[in-house]
Amino acid sequence: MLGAMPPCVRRAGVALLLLLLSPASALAGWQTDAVARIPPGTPLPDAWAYGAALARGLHADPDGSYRAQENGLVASSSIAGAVQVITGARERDRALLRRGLASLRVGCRSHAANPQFRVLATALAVRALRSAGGRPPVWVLQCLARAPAGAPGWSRGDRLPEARYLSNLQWIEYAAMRQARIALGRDGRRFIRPGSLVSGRYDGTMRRVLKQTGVVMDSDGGCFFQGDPGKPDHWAYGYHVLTTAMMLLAGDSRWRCGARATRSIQAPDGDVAYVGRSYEQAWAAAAAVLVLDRAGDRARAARSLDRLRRLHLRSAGHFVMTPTLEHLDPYAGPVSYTAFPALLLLVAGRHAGAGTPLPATTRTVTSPVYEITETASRWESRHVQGVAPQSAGDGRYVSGIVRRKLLEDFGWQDAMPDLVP
Amino acid sequence: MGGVGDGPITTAVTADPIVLDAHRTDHGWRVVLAVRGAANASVAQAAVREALAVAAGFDPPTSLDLIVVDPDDATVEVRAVSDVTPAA
Repeated sequence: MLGAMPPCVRRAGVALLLLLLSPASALAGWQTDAVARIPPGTPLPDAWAYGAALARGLHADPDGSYRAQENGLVASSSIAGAVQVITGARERDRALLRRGLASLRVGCRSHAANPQFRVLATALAVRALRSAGGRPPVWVLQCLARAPAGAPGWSRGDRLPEARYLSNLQWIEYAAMRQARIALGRDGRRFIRPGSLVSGRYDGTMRRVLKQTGVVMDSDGGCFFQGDPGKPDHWAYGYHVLTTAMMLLAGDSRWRCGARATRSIQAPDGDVAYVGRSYEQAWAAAAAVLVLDRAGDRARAARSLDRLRRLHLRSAGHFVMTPTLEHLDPYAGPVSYTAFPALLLLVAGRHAGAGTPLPATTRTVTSPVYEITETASRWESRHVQGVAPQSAGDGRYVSGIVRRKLLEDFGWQDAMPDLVP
Repeated sequence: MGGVGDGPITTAVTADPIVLDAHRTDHGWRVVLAVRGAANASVAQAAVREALAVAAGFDPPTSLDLIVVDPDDATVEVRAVSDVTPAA
């Protein structure tokens, strides 16, 4: 049929087909590119600057919600509001602070599907307000003090084997609880509702459940945590990094070992989320900046911040959740997913991720989940646990070489096709 | 070439701690202190030492479950527990 077409029509058809299939297809559109924009030329020297610029790039509806961008849902308001409150409080930007508080209030009044994100973000916002010498409004303290526990595994009637997954959501809730308690401080005695997340009712159960977090050790002494909310044999690399970040925010010492495995899996170009659910999403890189900075590995933290600068910002400044559109999990479209990396970057703070990214070293790290080989000009990661490529329906979970990168004249380049077509 | 003594000298100074929470538990007192600069280990340690010294002076002796946080850094949490030594 193509042969019967005039050459110019055939060329146009092929060009259109290539455009549609291209990862950077302009026609397909980026699912998150309308959420936040950082004006080109904005200095982004460190994690704080990047997070603050993202916070300023979020624009709520006049009532503080994000309904217009999310088909009537309000679930994103808490994280988006929190990053604006944190930035506004620290940078004495009263207008941004007011915007953030309005969104935070909408979030507190809503019934989010995963309330632990709301509690975590709100707690961090309250801490920022207190740190800046402000007195948090009563409604926000009540919001923290009355929030129920929501993750599977420790509510009454939940039996662990029936809990749908362990453990990133549980870790987020545990970190949220710990942060909320610090944020409430003495106000907790006035506002805490019996049976709420911060009431103490779940403390013992939480610790017991979180002891069961799946982990494998690698040859570098790193602990790779299972945080993939899919199946027991799924080891999503981004969720390992997120779980480690939540351990850090929960004051759990296991984070140090998790940071060591984050070092292991990180590519020289800052890539950490190249296997499993939430493939290549920006918050994984932001979480890597946080945990590597706190582990004292500033040059590796700089790798992941540099990746966020190079690949997650389009030329016009639009922030994209994944560098490649087709691989964006559908749930990652809401505003909260853009706000979440901003939250992690703001927590990482000033100076985190600053400086020159670490050049490649020479090393090999092995584990029951991954084998990483790094030389000065070549980096390769083999995923050991996944299914055979020929029987895989989902390219994010195949076994074998999943990433190969080569150092070219213009920097590190992916040298094999993406596993998710 | 730089040597020992070159460059600015910084001193870890503990700012006045803010008592975020202090309440009695079954085992003694649980106190949460916010100490600006606690991200610096020496500042956190100084705050812990000071608080434990204060607790040691309680009469009757009581155990202290102390958490020091940095108001500017949500990732800092230093915990120290002092036990009561039973009277001989």
